This record gives sequence, C-alpha cells and structure tokens, in this order.
Amino acid sequence: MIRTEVFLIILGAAIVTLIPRIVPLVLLSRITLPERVVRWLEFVPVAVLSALLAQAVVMPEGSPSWPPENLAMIAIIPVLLIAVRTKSLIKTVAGGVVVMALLRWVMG
Amino acid sequence: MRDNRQADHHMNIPDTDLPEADSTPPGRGYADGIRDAVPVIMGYLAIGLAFGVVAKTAGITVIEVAVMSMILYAGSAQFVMVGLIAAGVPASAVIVTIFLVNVRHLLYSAAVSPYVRHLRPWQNALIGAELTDETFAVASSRLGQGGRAGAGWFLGINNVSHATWIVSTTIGAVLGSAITDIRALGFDFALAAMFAALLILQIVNRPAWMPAVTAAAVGGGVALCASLVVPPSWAIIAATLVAATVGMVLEEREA
Repeated sequence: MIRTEVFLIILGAAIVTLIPRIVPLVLLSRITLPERVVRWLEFVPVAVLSALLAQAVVMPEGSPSWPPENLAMIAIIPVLLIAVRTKSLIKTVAGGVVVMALLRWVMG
Repeated sequence: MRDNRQADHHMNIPDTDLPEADSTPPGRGYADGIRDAVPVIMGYLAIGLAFGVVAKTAGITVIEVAVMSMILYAGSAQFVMVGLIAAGVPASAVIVTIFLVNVRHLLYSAAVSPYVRHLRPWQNALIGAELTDETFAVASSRLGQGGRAGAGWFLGINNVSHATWIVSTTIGAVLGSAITDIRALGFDFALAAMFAALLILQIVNRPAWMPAVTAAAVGGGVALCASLVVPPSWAIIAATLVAATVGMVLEEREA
C-alpha cells in the first residue's frame, strides 16, 4: 500500500535531489573550466572524505558522543593504521568490520 | 608540470563527443565498477536494513520504503524524511528540507564533471542521478588527475550500490522489528572504515601530501564545529568549501 500524499512527498523530494546531482555534471562537463577551478575540484574528495569521516567517528548517532558509548572513536585508530599500512580499501573495510564486532563483543 | 597537465587535458578531451571506450583506469568496465563498489555494498546492507526497520516502526509501509529507495535513493535524507512524515510535517516543508539535506551533491557532481567530458549528456545525467556520498567517494578514489571515467565503470558502481540499497531497505521494512540487533556484526562501521581508507588513499596519491593532510585536518575540524550550529549535511558543505580551498592554496605555494 502506498499513500498518495507520501508518494507525492517522495516524488517531490526525488526531483529536488536529482537537480543538484545531475545539473553540474551535465553542464560543467560541456565547458572548459579554468585551471584553478579544476585544481580546486580535485581537492573536493579529500575535503568531503575528511568531513564524512569526522562525523561518522565523532557523531555516529547524529550527535557527539564518547567511548564507551561511542565505539567508532576507538575502532578508528586500528582502522587508520591498517589503511596507512596496507593502502588497501578492501582490507581496511574488512578490518574495520572485524574490529567493531570484536569491540562490541568485548564491551558487550 | 602543472602547465603540461593542463595542455594534456585539452589535447585529450576536445569538446566533440568521443566514443566511451576510454576509461580511467584504462579498460575498466561495468564488472570492475561492481567490484570497486564492494565496500559500499557491505555498508549499504547494514544501513539499509536499519533504515527499513526504522521506517516500518515509524509507520511507513513496505512499498513506500521501496519506492523511496528507488526514486529518492539518499541515505540520510530518507531517515530525515521518515522522521518528518511521522511527525506530520506538511509535504512542502518536507520537500524543502530534503532539498537542503541533499544540496551538497552539487559539489560531488561538479567534482566528477572534469572526468566525463568525453561522454554524452544523457550518460552524464545517468551517472549523476545515482551519485551518493559513498559512490562519489569510491569513484573519485579511482580518478587520477586529468583522467577520464568510463561510463560503464561508473554505472557499475552506481547500479549495484543502488540495487543493494533498494533490496536491503525493503528487506528491513519487511522484517521490521524481527531484526533486533543488526549492529552486532559490525557492518554498520563499514562505511566509516571506507571513508578512512579512501581518505588515506587520496592523500598518498596526491603529488604532495602536506597540503592534503592539512586540508583533511581542516575539513574534519570544520565539519565537527559546523555540526554544532547547522545540520550535518550543511556542515559537510562548509567543510568542503574551506578544506578544498586550503588544500589548493597550500599546493600552489609548494609548487
């Protein structure tokens, strides 16, 4: 069952989400961006990743929290070490999942 | 060196449409995209199940969850939307709020644009339609400076991630409270670990790592400070604008 009003909300939200996802990609790929703009855009992944990571580790439930409630803040230490050592995405993610499972088991 | 790269950029990528055979890294196709998305799949399975359970508990039906994941496809925005619908907030206010939560995708879309100049507009529209924090993060880790993204490879990442999200959120809604402790296994930490790994990879792959490390420290700091005064998704925008500028300026000084 789908309620008409809920469907219209989802549809409206989908449209206003598609605009920022699609418009820059389609328009900016048509033109030659100034060199400095391109170099700025090359820093966007580092900037975004650091912001997403900081939020995921310090405020995993939406607001800042500390150990022992916030285990992400502990788990991130071995995960960063694995990432620096292996430089492997998949090993780091697998390691992170194992570390978090172990932490929950120990702190259980 | 920088001038060479720029000249290269123009020579390789004229404004005329080219066949999509070229890709970065060379020869990566749809199946490689699926493989590159494995960390996203792990994270979306955990978060998607959790979302389905939360949505069902808040009175959203299974079909509504499925439709939401199909046409809206935005993790944090879907959590926000469910909360607002459950609270009886008017439709127009919900839609405006979701726009504000998702407007950060402007930055991801713009950052991908230099790598897809050889593709047709409809291909770029398809790539953009399924951009999320996570698919952008994975894709950008494979895009070198001045390179190109293959349409098939990018759509491989996007489609499998989206499919995982639809399936896991719907299963979560069907099972509802039957799933009590989905976090026990630690899969919900997969995305944080993925951001950490991709950040390290981004830093070590830059020509000079000092500007990138500084930008990352600034980005993390601004994201946390800004989260105290604005919604988290806006804090990401603020952090990105500041940190990317810091990184670019520092790199210019080193050159």
